[in-house]
Amino acid sequence: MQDAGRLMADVRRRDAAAFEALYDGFGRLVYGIASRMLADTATAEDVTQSVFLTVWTRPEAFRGGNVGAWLARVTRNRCLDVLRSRAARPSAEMPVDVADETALDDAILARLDGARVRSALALLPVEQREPIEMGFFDGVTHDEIARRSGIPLGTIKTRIRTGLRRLREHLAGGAA
Amino acid sequence: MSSMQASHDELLDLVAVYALGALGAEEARIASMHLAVCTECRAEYDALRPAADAVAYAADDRLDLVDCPRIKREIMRAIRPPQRSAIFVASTVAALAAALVFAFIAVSAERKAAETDRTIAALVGPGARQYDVSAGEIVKSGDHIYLVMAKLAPLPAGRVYQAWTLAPGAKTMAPNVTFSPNSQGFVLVTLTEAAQNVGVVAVSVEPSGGSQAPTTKPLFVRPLT
Repeated sequence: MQDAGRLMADVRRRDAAAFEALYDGFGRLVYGIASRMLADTATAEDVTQSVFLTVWTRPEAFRGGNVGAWLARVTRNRCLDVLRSRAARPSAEMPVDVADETALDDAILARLDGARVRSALALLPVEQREPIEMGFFDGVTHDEIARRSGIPLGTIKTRIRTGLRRLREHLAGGAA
Repeated sequence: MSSMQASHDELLDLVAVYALGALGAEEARIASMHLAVCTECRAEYDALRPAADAVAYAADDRLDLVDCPRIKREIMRAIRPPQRSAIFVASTVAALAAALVFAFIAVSAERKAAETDRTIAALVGPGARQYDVSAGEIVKSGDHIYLVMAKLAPLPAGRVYQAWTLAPGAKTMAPNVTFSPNSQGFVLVTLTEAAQNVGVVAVSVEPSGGSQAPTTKPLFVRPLT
């Protein structure tokens, strides 16, 4: 794929070809996140369309940094909105949206792909990998993770932190 | 837990969960406030946030490979509709906000489609101005004000959303249209008050048929400044 930051700049100039290239590069990522979080093909498609049409209509929302990480956060936040609307108890606590406007850039984000991340996650002990995946994809808070797993909250938090640090090391070191 | 009570190790753990996006509102607020003043925790957050973001990439292992090209065709059709029809040409220019795709997806009658195209053109025209609100956007374009709501929760039977306007210098909200979102939480509403007469827009939940004054706390109250 061409440089994603350059493609975003071209999308700002209403370049449909750049937009199409951006979809080719990140469509699977966006749809994959939505599919996994929502477990509903039709809604995942709706979210995917919503995310990319937002890119087309409001490209200025991207303020620099890593395009894929930004799209992933936008997608996750949209999915959290859907999960909230589905919640049987609207007052039940759900995670707050994480800011997606941060101009995040980092060496480990520069060459990510699904297989590489899955390999890196697989290197984590299951007690660290599970709360990380639940926290990211299931749209639940760490309290809910602790409740579901029957593990003390403090332990869950420490495992998430330790797991993220190890994940970073694996991704940075190419161990995956 | 407050930031004063927590040990610093506990706060570092909290910051990691914040990076993952798995905190509830109150603890996220604590973490965010702490990050603003603690360089050690900020460094931890900056290190862990990319790892948390990387987790997203693990999700493309369960895709039906047919879906992505089909979704792509639909998206590209939305931004580049056929050239031969005047109605669709209007849509091309419109650039199509994501919410509008959902709001109008079921519209099929030609007359309704033309009306829709005019609305979309107004929403994204050069003179349109957007105001962010919690549930979407307010758009001021020409004489009109539009609510493009993308995140409205479904309401129980007998309840509707109602828009309110406050004229410049006025002290009392005036009732405007009532509306309900579609199953995805999307709706596009054109307010009946002329834009020049509106300084503030609000939306609240009201009984079906609407109210003369808000009976519930508004979802948002947005000055158009």
